[in-house]
Amino acid sequence: MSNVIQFLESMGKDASLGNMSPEEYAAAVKALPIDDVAQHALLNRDANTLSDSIGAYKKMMMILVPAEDDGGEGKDDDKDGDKKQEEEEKSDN
Amino acid sequence: MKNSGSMVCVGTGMMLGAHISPRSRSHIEQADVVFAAVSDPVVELWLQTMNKDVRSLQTYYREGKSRHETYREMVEAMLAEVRLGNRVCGAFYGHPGVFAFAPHKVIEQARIEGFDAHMEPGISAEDCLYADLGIDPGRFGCQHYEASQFMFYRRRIDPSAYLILWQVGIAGDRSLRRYSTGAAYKQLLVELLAEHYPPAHEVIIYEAATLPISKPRVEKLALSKVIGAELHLQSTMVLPPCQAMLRDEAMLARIEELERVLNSNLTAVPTQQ
Repeated sequence: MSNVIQFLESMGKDASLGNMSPEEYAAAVKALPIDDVAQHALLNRDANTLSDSIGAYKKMMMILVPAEDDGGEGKDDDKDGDKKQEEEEKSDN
Repeated sequence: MKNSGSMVCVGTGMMLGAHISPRSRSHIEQADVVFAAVSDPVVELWLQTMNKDVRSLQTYYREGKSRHETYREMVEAMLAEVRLGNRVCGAFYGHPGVFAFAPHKVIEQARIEGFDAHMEPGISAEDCLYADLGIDPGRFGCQHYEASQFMFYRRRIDPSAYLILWQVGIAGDRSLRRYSTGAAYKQLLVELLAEHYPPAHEVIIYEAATLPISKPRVEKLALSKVIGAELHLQSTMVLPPCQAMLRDEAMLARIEELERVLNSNLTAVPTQQ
């Protein structure tokens, strides 16, 4: 496991590491056997530079759901809803 | 008889190292193949430390390509490995079943084809939002919509409850081919919301932190200023209530009458020794 990933995982799961003072954090980062770019990125809490420095993807897509189902199922549902509403209105009259 | 392959979709949570459940982690570690759809590139590298065969689902996205096609390809890629008899794990950021099409679809299809398939929950962006913004959805109630769907369909908005719009960074995209939205689309969204909220109403743009070195984005601004706001794929818009809840006096009277009848029945029944 890369030292950067290991460090981040430790910070994520250990509350004491996650709540380090700025001085403690800087000391912990400087003690890591990692290259200067990654070290500076960590010190500056610069996620983009950090990603680049360890060879991660440049851009992530995180949209996982469409606004409507394929084939316009939502539209059909809507039409059904409109029909029901029309029927209810008719029965009210 | 069940076929030998299996499918599980797990949530990695939002923050690297902080949110993944022991069970979800063990699924990732024990799978023959892991497919990853996460929101942060470093998180994807982290998953690669848990299993030697982690395949990114990022490769299926492309600007200008319908995301319907992208999602179908994701489902097929996972199912192909299940059909080969492999234990397949889909690792999705947050909760795999919240605002996510492919995890539900792949489980449904795998079951139809006779394979074991299930979902393990995860800590979602919604969960982080409540913690970071100090919102309890039970206090005033809370409505959630996908932002584009909110624009395409007539919804009944309750301004006395929270309104939370997801994927607001692509609000109004009918093509499913874009990954950002322009000011003109944001203008339409603001106009729609202005039917229920004053333009000066304070809203929040929220983005959960994905690395333990990062802070969540919590940007408060007037509704009218959303048009010029920088919105990303991971941005969520929160509209706090702008009206007090209205008591339903008629229903309260009916409940009071019901309780009066029930209490009178109780006092009429003799107690048994």
